[in-house]
Amino acid sequence: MKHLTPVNRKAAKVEAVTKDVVALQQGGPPQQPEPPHIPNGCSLVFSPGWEADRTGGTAGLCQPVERDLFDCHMGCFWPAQVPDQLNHAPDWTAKCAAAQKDWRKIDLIFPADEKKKG
Amino acid sequence: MPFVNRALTVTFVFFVATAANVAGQAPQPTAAPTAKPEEGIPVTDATVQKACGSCHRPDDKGQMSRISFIRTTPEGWQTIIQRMAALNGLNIEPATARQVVKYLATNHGLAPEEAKPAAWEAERRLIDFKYTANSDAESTCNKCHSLGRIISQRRTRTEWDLLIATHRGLYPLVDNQAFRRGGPPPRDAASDGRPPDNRHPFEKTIAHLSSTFPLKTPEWTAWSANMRPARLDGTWALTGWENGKGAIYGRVTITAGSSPDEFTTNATYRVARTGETITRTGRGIVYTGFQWRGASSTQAADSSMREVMMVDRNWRSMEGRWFNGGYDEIGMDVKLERVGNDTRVLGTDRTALKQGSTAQELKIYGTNLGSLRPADVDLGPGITVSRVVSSTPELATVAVDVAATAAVGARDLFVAGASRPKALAVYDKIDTIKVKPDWAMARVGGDTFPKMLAQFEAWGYSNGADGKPDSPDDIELGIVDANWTMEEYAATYNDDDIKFVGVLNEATGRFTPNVDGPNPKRSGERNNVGDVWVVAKVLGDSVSGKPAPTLRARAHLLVTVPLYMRFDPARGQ
Repeated sequence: MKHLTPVNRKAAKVEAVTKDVVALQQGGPPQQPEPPHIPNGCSLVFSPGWEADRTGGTAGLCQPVERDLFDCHMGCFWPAQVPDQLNHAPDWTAKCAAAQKDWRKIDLIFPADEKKKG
Repeated sequence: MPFVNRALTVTFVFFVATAANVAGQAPQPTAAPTAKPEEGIPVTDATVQKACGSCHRPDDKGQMSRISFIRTTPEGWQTIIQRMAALNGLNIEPATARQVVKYLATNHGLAPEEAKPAAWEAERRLIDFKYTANSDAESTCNKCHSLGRIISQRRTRTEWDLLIATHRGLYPLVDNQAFRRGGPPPRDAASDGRPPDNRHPFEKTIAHLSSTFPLKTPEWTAWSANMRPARLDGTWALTGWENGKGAIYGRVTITAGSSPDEFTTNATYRVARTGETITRTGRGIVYTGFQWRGASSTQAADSSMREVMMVDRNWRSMEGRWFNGGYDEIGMDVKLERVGNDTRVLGTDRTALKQGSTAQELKIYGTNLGSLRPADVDLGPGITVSRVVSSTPELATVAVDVAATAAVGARDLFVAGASRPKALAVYDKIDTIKVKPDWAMARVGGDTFPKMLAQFEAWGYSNGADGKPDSPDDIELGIVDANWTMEEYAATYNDDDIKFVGVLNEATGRFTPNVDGPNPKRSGERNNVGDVWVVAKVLGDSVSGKPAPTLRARAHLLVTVPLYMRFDPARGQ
């Protein structure tokens, strides 16, 4: 809490909850000399990203992910991470009428295997 | 309600106009025919001609469309075959596919100089890679892919064009996501007075990739002329680092297999700090004369590891990574060096000795150590070897006394003429610790998808002569045993990730994430994802009667969602 001082009640509450607001003041030394790391592969441009949001955390991700997968699948939005409806797995969500209930029926796809199954 | 109708009509016309406008800007196919056909690599193998030839017909020079104009790694060729099976109706027997991969990875492969910068991709390392050569190429590809996938390919200009065209054909959104510029083109002239560069990012990317990663390179011309199967049979000394456990030392016996580029292996090694002994047997194939791809296992179930190593061109050493886990995240860095008759010191079980400590047992790992006497072992001024406890050709245990006045700092170890620089350090006290890695990623799993684990290590440091932490003269003391806990990484108000993300083993520093799937106990039925600090605590040294301080360090752990699709190069092997 070196660089931030609460100026209103909400900020004071945040401080009361935790003394550690490093995550809220990205870039502050000494624990975080650099902005947070964005893991291999994914993007800062899409909002939210696949594995990490644009701050490098998970708070901004679509949650639960199962609720969002249909959009990724049908629009081919994350073609390297989610099976796409147009090409690799047209029937990926066929057994999953309601993601909240049937999410276990969504398989991990290995593209060559998927073809053999079909 | 005429007014409303009119308003709707106006809106409709506006949308039509907008749509027509967008249609008017629709991109044209990118595969521009070149004036003179580019020269490729003829395919001379009958298996490849038969397996691929019905679509990729050879021309009069034996060049097959697409195939003759691409070079890449074994993983790259395997992914291509998997994609042909998935999307283009290829029906191929696994044995044939292996032959095709072997031929293409060897004859349409990468030279060592080309493969090395992308080695982390085949070694499946989770690293923070920054491609600095061209920001358009980085952002165009990196939005979906690891850059390792791109820099491990070589193609002709036409092939890079076709790669982009394939993406635009298969994934309609990609133009908006990555390939085309958002917003109006730049209008201002460049700083040198030239007109603005109005090319779209994908056009600049093609220009960059086709000049930086062309099919024909001096490196490949030289390597392919000199390439031959590497003769690797013999005995090799193994040194490595298993994440979380520390240094490993041992030996690998490589035996020639059924063809000149295939081998079987037998590895025995010890974890230096604990003495745990592991024996693995396996087999390997060497592609392109230098790319080792193997698999080995112990007697235990789920012990299989994949091995990816680069063989040095002198056939005397190879280096890489052995790994397993749901996302290849658990593993070790390894180096193999050919063993002759010479004595060699590989390392020690302890990497730090305290001033004034006596009768300390020190294990020395090596090759051909022979029967040692105390005088054969030299650790420098202030350290006396009082006796040899036991001695075998590969492991010697000695007892040492460290003088209270021994100077603080790293010591080279000499054993019977062989040496290991900076084998261990003499220190007065542990001043700070660090957690390595300073960030890590795990993925929830265990219900439908595999778990991705994360492993942390605590390292001790002495401040050195200047008495200040984080300075160049700090003395690295190696791994220290720590107590591991998690703390909340406060990213949002009322952040409660720590309750859901999973379990950190308090003794080993290994994080095991919670199960995948929506969690009804979380607000919004969120998954068990989140951000936490991983905190290591180590009891420091008591100085002049004061209570020993607790040393602390932490790392950021991101626990996130599974990957739902993977082109897995290991699958089907």
